[in-house]
Amino acid sequence: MIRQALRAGPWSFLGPFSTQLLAAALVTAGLGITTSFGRAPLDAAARQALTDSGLTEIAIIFVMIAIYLSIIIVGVTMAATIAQQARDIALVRAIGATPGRVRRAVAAQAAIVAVPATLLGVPLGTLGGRTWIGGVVTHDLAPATVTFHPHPAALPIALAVTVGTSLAGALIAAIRPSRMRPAVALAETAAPRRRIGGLRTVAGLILVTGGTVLSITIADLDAETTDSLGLLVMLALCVGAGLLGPALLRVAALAGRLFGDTGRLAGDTIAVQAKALSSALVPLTLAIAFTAVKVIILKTTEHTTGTAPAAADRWLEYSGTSVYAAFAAVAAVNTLVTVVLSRRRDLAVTQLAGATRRRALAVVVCEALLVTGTALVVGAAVAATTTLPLLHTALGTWTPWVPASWLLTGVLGTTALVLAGTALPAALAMRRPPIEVVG
Amino acid sequence: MSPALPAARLDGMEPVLELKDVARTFPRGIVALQQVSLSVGAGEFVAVMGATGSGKSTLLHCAAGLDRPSSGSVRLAGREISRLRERPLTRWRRDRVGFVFQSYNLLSELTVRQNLALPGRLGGPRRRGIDEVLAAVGLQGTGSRPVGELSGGQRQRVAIARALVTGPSVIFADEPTGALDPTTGGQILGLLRRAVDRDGVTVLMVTHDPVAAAWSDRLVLLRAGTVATDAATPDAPAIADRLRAVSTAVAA
Repeated sequence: MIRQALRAGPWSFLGPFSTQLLAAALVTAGLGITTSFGRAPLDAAARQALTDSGLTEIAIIFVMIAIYLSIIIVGVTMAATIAQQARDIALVRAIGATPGRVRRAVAAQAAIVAVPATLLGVPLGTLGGRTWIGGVVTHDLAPATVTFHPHPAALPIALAVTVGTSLAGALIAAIRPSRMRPAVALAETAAPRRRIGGLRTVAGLILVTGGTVLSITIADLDAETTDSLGLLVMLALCVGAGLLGPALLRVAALAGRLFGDTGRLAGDTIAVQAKALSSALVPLTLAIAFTAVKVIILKTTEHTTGTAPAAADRWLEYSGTSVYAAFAAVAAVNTLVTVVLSRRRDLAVTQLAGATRRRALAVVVCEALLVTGTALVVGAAVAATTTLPLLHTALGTWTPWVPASWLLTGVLGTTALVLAGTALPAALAMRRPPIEVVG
Repeated sequence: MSPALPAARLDGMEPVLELKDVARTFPRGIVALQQVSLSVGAGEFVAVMGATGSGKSTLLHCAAGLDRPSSGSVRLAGREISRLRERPLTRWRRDRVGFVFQSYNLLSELTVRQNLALPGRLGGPRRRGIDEVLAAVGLQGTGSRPVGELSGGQRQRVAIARALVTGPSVIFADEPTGALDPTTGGQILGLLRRAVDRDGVTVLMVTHDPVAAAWSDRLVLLRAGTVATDAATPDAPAIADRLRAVSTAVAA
């Protein structure tokens, strides 16, 4: 069954593989950076200066964010891949596999993919960490005696993070299909449940409400606490929004009606694909929110106080954020590719029903735009909830400020990202004649 | 080549579907069709039969513009389609042709109504109303159900309704009863028969079931990629005999 799954859907494991690889790299880089600061041959005064500069703390926050992000993103992509296998799981259940056996097979798949990904990710992370330390020294943020030292336990820690979260994500996704009676499962893969689980909705609402309440509460605390708790607020809101994703996407699907026949068709497809697409919504929202929060805080501070931060500081602020955003973006694109490729047959059926390739692609592009719109609205809402209290405490203003050109870049960048994950694979998939695909 | 000329040609009407010397060779030299000529008039119900590998599906695909012949010409609804480029070909197909497949080829997550709206939303003609065709195939009241929840027979009714909703000249049916029990299959064939008799649609159906073929007006038997016989459809036992004759001739 494991071999069958890996062979039948090598593409569907691209998502988990690449996110596990990047997660391992991020964790390794973060750990290495902390070790490098700790082991640098510095005298007492230089060490004090390093601590005062806040770099050591930034390194620790980097590790924290890397681990949180990895848990969320690897878990979500792995779960999405296993969810795509619902039909295969139903089939092997029908021919006599016990629920326990299915769960073991699913767990084995997760581990088989995670281990090589981590082994590749660790050297990549070492390279990234080395480059970052180099950047810190070039920007005169630390003395030249600070050199890169890999963390001795980077590999086992990275393995623990990637394998652990992959297993958790895979097993959670396998609970329902492995427990169901095979007949029910087979029927359901033909007509999936449209209802959103009650537990899912409740958890989503709790996270969103909790995040919002926390954000308001921490606004009056000191800057340091606010900074680290602000991260939690953002993660809670993003995951919460992801859990409420199916509902949000169904609202977006209604918006499709404004765009004529193609839009209606795109809206209908999004409504039935809402659950699968929600897995892409979490990393997409995270990427948008991470970038937006950083940009809003820096630009509003610049705008309100009229002083621009030093180039070195700006580099420090943006380098971390761009790494997280890139990580989340890769995960989002991969999940979207998985969703689109699982729909190859549907695309062929649409072509047989009379769609020219261009028309079928137009529907996919319209879907992409609706997903982009949802992600931007949710991402903006998360960023606003996270930053507004912070801005009010720090600057006494409720009005965030971002240059229009940056805003436009963000919107276009997100659109390009979603199109790369949807329209591109769809166009490639439609190069085969439709009758061959359905046959 | 054909022993009996189709009625439509004798009447002086232009045939709806005309294949001339159609050959189709696949990579590695496999010959699926050689020099097949076939002329089908408006309102004819033609069954195409033959042993597995005799080229019947390839014939349907070439005739419907889903595949291109290696040589020869195909005229569909008055237009030469064998060398038409992909986009105009798809539009031509969308506007004149309906399909019914053994595997239904519906979007199973969407509702019945959404599936029937599909051709129209893709730019195809909306010559008939969705409710009207739903009633015509006996599926009133199922419009809001997802296709995935329906039985095989109901799904095939949806497929026929989707083929009818654009008001096509020709319906191509590839083993439409292949996955259904005899009673349900009979109901599906009755619907195709009615489309021919009442709406004047032309039907070209590929099947391996003599009982299904007995619903047609004209029977074309293929052997090794050529037309073996082409005549008015006899009753089911006679069809079975003829089919056995062409199949064993290949094996011998």
